[in-house]
Amino acid sequence: MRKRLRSALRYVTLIIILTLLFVPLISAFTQVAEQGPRIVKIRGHGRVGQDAISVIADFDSALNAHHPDAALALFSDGAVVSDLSNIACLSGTNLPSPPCGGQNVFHTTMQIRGWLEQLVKEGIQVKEIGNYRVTAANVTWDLEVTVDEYRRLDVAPLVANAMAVVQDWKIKSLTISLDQESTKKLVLGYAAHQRTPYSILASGVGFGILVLGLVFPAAAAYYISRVKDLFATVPGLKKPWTLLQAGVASLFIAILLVGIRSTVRAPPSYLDIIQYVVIVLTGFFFLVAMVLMKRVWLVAPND
Amino acid sequence: MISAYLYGLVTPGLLVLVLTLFYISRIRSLFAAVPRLERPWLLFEAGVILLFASLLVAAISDSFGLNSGLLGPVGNVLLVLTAFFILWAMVTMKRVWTISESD
Repeated sequence: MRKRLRSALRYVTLIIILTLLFVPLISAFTQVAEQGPRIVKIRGHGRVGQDAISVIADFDSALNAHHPDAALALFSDGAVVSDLSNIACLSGTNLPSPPCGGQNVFHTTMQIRGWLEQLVKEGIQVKEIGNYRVTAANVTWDLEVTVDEYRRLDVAPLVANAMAVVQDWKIKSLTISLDQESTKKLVLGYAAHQRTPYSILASGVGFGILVLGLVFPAAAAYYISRVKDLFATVPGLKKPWTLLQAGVASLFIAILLVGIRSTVRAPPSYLDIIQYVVIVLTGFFFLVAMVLMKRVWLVAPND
Repeated sequence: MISAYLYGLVTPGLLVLVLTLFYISRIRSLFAAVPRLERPWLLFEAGVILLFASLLVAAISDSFGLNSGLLGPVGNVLLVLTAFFILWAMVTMKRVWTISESD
């Protein structure tokens, strides 16, 4: 009776611990889902009488401060962004595909958020050149743009032309593209940074590591099943080994996600979250397997 | 968003892995009488430590905004090494039990 009570108490403690651990996990998801855009005034901008200019200046400041939420808050519902020169998603020639899948027009809030996050990830810095030109709700301006890709190609900063429609303190549409001279400079930059034997070797090594990363957990799962067979006579040991197999399967998925991240065009931040969830699940399966296994081995000598 | 999932995902993940390490060490001590079994459990422990390190690298790169271009591959290599150590542990464990049976 006392033994059963102790066992029940252990289960309850384990459930409480796991619940406590996973409450923040769930709250993180709710936060990510519910996090609404908020306006953060990053830098004060002199009032020159044109609301539209003020909005654009705030947008540039938000980008420079790497606050995608603040920048997103400046867009109206149904806003459209056209990044005609793929500033956010321009990939090096070494990459198999551009991060945005060649897409350069963003219609939904989620797409615009992805575009802004990609710009931040690329370490964007913008600087207005000359004056803003305002015609009714339209604002056009020139700006210097620097992103990691331009830095890597030694062409930063490049000059871009931007045009925005601003209504009710919100950006309704934004079109941005590099000017002709900068486009040429970029093409020349790529030509100068063609694939080197080192970069080919590095990508080959990366692919090799990824393949090994998929083979190892698959083989580990096979060996666990063999070990499980060896312990078939010991009652209660099947479950822990199965859980360990589940953990190894999660590890396989986590490594598979590394490969998917380099080929699929989903916004990187979401794949990061999925990968973290899978890794945490791996740890969770391992933990439950070990708790059960310890219990089985502790009980076995008494029986 | 980064700080939210850093708190919500990585922290419980690290705690779960620390607890796993504790339980593995307890199981290892249960098998202290079988010296050949110490190695597989040690290897499994090493695998879990590497998984911990992989998550920690992700946490560090996110929280301090370090260059993910450098830390990303490090985290991925640690993940592959985790799988390798677990495989090694399981191969060793199977070998130990097979030898025990034939002995």
